[in-house]
Amino acid sequence: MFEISANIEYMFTDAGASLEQRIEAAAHAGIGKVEMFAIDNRDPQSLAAALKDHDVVMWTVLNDPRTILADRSNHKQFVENFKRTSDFAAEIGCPNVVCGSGTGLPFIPRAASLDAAAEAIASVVKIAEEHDQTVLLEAVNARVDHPGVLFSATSDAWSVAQQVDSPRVKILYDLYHSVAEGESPTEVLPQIIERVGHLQIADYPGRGEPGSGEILWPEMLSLLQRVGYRGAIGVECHPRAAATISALEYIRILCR
Amino acid sequence: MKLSACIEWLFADEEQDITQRIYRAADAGFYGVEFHLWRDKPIERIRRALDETGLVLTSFCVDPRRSIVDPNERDAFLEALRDSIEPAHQLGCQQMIIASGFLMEAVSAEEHYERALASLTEAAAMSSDNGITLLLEPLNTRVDHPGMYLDSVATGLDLVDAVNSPGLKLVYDAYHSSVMGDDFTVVLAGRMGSVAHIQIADMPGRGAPGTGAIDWQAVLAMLDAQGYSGAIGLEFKLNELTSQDAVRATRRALGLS
Repeated sequence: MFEISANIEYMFTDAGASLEQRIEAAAHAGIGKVEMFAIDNRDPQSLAAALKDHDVVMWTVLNDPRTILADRSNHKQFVENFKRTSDFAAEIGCPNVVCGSGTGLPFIPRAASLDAAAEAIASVVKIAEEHDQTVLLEAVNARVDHPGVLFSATSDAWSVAQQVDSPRVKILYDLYHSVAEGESPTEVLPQIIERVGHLQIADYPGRGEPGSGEILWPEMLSLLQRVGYRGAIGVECHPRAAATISALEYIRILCR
Repeated sequence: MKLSACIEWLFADEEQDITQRIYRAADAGFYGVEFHLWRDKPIERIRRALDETGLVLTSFCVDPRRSIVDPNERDAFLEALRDSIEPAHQLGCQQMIIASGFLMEAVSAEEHYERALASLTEAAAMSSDNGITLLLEPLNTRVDHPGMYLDSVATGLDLVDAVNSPGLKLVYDAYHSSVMGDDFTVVLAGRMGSVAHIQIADMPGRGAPGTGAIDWQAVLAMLDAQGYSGAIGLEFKLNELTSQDAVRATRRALGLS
């Protein structure tokens, strides 16, 4: 029903400290897509080799550090960072680059901040195009994990994607962050589905594996089917169980 | 009803000079006026205008705005408060407004609360020693102030109650609260004793009451039921209206005409 993509920064840590070891473990578990965060201190050649050896695709990388996009004086640096991340992603065959917003700026209203963020995102579309990549805009919750962040509601990422209006720019809808921010996926997803390029999940509260919190996963999966989501489901959680593979068992059964 | 005009915006279309707006407010039958920062204002001339009109200065903001959740700004916050007491005394103003400052990355909600509580406890003591009530104002983070720590009326009231001093109360801004999706009948129920001032603007748009979607009769009924008898600050933007029309719209929405 849905393919699982595994974040290997938080998961498969039981397989070893390196991403290469975790790629191997994911492959052994029958998972064909993995996701990573920042590219710093990561070796693209060795990652590309591990991905190829185990027939795994790196599905997303994160554009880091989280530049404050509301501040136009950061935009040049943002473009440079994005270029570096995009080059790295291309080298390991990764089709998606995730971009957050950074925090808001004191006494700058949201609308003006989102305008500035949209300018920044528009300025990297060409780079993504050159590598045939998609820029994924991600809203993260401000209540628990990212106090002060600008893209705190899904509508923030949505309005920037609307403004840029490019097939290269999509929304990464993280269901955990959305619920943590007090949103209802049942209300939000149907409104944004046409621009959703990827989806991530974890349970709430606690950000553990699906089944460890209060989210009703059978309902959520039927919601995804109902709105016509066809992409992979990225599991980005802190597993409660020592072995990631057992932590993922429940959601994998539901997704079969 | 004790209406106070926020003269940063109201009467700005009629008078360039903020002092003159006090006379306009008096002509329009207001009980008082309020404004934001004081360091950019002609304090002595404002004092004279208040004297001549008999209007009450219901509040202004502690200036400069400093964070109550950033330990690096703690001293600057208390200094801003100390500096603001003199103009308050000069102007016969008994209430000064503070907002929280911005969220700190990698600091938990609990830690933010504890820091705010510590800053406010100290500030409330200084204020009450000087005959002033500080008004803590939750602001909306959805439209106007992304990243602001205190965007919840409930948390603001919790802080005021925890400090438990005559030097600290809450200012309830119906606009900010509505933007954040609050149901005012719920957030304020039984807690009006901790509220010392009310500000109003409609939502969306932050214009005069009657230009948006807020049910003002329901707001008034709630204030009445909760026993609020303080002033109501008209802190709204004129948008497309003249001040005269905005005041008329407000009076109509509040059932005063």
